[in-house]
Amino acid sequence: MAKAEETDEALVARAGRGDRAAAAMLVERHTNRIYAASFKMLGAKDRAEDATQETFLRLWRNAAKWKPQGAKFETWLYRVAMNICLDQIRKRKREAPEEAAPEQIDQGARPDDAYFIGERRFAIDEALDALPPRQREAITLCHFQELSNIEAAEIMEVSVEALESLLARGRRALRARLEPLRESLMGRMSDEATANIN
Amino acid sequence: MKRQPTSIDPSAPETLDALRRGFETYGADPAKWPAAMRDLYAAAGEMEELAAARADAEALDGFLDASTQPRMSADLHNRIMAQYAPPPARVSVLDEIAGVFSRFRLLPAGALAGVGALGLATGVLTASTQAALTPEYEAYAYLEDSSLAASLIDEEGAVLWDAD
Repeated sequence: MAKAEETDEALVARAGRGDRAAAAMLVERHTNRIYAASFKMLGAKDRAEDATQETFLRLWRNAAKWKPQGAKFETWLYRVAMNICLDQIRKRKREAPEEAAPEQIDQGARPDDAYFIGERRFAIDEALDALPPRQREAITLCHFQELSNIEAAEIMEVSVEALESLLARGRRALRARLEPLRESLMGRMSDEATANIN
Repeated sequence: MKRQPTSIDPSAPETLDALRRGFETYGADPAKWPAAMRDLYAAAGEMEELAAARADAEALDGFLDASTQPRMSADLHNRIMAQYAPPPARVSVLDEIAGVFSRFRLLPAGALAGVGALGLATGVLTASTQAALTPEYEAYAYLEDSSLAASLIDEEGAVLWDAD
């Protein structure tokens, strides 16, 4: 029986020997975060769920022979997930180049336009989607997953300096893309927050 | 990114530069900054000179937090577990050898069964062949093979059968 305090590494070893309870514990511990990271990378629920399933399928295939090799299990799992996502993005780009290059945000949109009637979120998602994949990956891991710069660099297999460069460039690109909407968006968001409080 | 100087001078240009880069890279939430830079943030992050950089970072953090939140299907865990297949039991060398022997043990039994089946088939075939012969044909078959078959004469001297 898998115990809550068991390390991931011990659970992987047991799952590799056919212990279903250990496998279930790994799924319980990691699915949400792997799914959330995949979602931020791919921007669609079905694609993110496919990537999450594929990540665990690779875990099941490798569990019997998995060895830490210096990295934590979670780092390894994130790396698998991120590589699957990057592969999917590349594949999508090959198959439908137009899909990988979303339209520019209409900078002339007024506060009452569609962005503020349900599409505000879409605009932000689209800005994220327009980032080069490695910049998106850096922001996903550091901002959304709240991993340390050292952990994120290890997952991405780059130096901390390279990670910081990707993060800074990604954030600059997002800011430039979203700047025209900033005042109106933030104004509307604070209105909504006030309304929610009241 | 360069780490903070050992003794922090909040107004030093390099401190302000390091903090601006920190806002650009990690945003406005000090929890997302590297542990080694949080002291610097605490000491000087709120300075007036950094107000614009901090506001930019806060705005972008707000955008990111307003992006679509991931909501996975309720059955995703089950679908993942459905893919889990326990690895095949590992077979030791001794088991392999035992398997080979057990296969050979089947051979004599198989051979015996085969011989039995052949014997049975022969018996059935023979019986059915003989059943098909009439008494005349039996006599004919006997005489065909006999060296005395040149002629067959009964007690009164009549020729019953002549091979020619």
